[in-house]
Amino acid sequence: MKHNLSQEFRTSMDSLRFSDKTKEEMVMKLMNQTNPKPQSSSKRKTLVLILAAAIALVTFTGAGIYTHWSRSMQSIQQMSELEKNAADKSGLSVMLEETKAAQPEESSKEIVSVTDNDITITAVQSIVDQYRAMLVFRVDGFQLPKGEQPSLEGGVVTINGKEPTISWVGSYYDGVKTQSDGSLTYDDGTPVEYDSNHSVIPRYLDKNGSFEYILDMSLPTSAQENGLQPLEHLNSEIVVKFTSVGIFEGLDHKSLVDGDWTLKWTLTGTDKKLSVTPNAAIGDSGFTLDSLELSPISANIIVTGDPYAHPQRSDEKLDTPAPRCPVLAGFRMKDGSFIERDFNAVGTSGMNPMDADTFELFESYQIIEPENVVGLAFYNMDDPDNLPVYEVSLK
Amino acid sequence: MDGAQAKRLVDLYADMILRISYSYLRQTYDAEDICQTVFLKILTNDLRFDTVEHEKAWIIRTTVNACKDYRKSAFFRRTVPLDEAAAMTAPQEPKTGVLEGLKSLPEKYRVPLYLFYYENYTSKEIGDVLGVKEAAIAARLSRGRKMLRSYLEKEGV
Repeated sequence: MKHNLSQEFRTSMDSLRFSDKTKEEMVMKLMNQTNPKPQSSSKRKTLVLILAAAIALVTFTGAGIYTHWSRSMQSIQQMSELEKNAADKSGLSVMLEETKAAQPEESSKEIVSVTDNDITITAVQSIVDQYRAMLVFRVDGFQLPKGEQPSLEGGVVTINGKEPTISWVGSYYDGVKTQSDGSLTYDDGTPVEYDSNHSVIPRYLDKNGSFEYILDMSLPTSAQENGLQPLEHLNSEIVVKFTSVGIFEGLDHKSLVDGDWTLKWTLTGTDKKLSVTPNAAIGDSGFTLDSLELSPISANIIVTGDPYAHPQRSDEKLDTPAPRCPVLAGFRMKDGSFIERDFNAVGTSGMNPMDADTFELFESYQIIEPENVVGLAFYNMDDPDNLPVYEVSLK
Repeated sequence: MDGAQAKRLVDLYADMILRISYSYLRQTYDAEDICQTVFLKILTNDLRFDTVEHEKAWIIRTTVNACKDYRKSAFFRRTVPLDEAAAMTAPQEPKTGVLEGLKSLPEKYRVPLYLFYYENYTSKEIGDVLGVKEAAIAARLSRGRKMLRSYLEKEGV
């Protein structure tokens, strides 16, 4: 096919724009920041929490269809059916709809499915470890207009009765997979279709007309100001409330149906982890991998080193030098395979204000067996074009 | 300050910053923060430019530097308190063959291709803005175009 790159580039980029509402908010923020109001209190001085940012779903390879799991998780998690069964048995993954229906007495106070205005939102599946939770919700009965992306308004209200300060990313499963060779397919393995603008046509809707929303959140690694403690989320009640179902208009949510879909249930998962103190150099980066806790879908990693020790690269024209902290690339497994970390998932990292040479990295990835990890890899950020990696053995 | 200058900057350049940061970072989540960073530098330092062209070139250069800062210090991440996060909607990225192809290219090709194809900059102008020699930009554009075409052909788009 002949391509007019200039025209296709222009058409594609034209559709990437801020909405008028976002622009108005931007102007207001600029005015507030250049005419600051007196602050009543200083904001947090603890670790700076940083939210991983992206909505696209991860790269995955085609495993056999596992009908038990939610549509999105059976595609996203690169696991065999045997491994998925193991995740269920270990308590890491819970099929909420099925589990709660099978335990009516225990679940009498739990609400995993609510119907309002003929739309039903159901908590379908949770995958939870000590520092991260992935919650999958299915929306039935919503008439998604052709060519539109679904959108929900709402989120986590409380965990164990406390309003948590958490980082989270929400995404809508679009049925499109990136295979290991880089090609795009739908989750049934058929090649993706493109519209007249060469845009991939997403398939948000399942055959029965439902779509799935994934709420991916990081959980406290230290006590929060509101009293929420690490691991307190396990076996505690979580309340999630949605107030509107609609579509994306530009970059904003446009409500088509308002309602009250308040779900609450006891969040369970696993506190399984592997704690290691390698105290090993990360190549010649000048940083040291101090210690780490690896869980099935998240890791808490402590790295030490001088973030300002790196000379400014010749291609950088920065007004002020920026701190450079190591970035996790992935995991080396016992069988020699390498699992890349998921840049699209939720994650946090930051410098410790009490010790500027200490970094705490919170990382997310597809489900792994922590005991099968034999090494960690970090990107060498001095060479961003090629991003070579340093590997650190955990032996 | 009155809001006129802020509104002028946002109206003129916000979408351009979004597109450059998308080209650089391959996602749109941080674009709004990068806009704030760039505009605040102008507004708080009361920067004035001789011409609109100078202003635009300065904004492009500062946007690319802000993207580099973002990637180095946080690698596609940012601080979001819960109350702000709850109100945040993910920017919708157009999934087109060309943009998927652009995202598949190494970093050094992406912004020059954007400036060439969308902003109609010449190799020399791109070199001046990015602080890279014109010959290097010409080579990157040539190589980048080939890689992009190759991607589109391979994907059958």
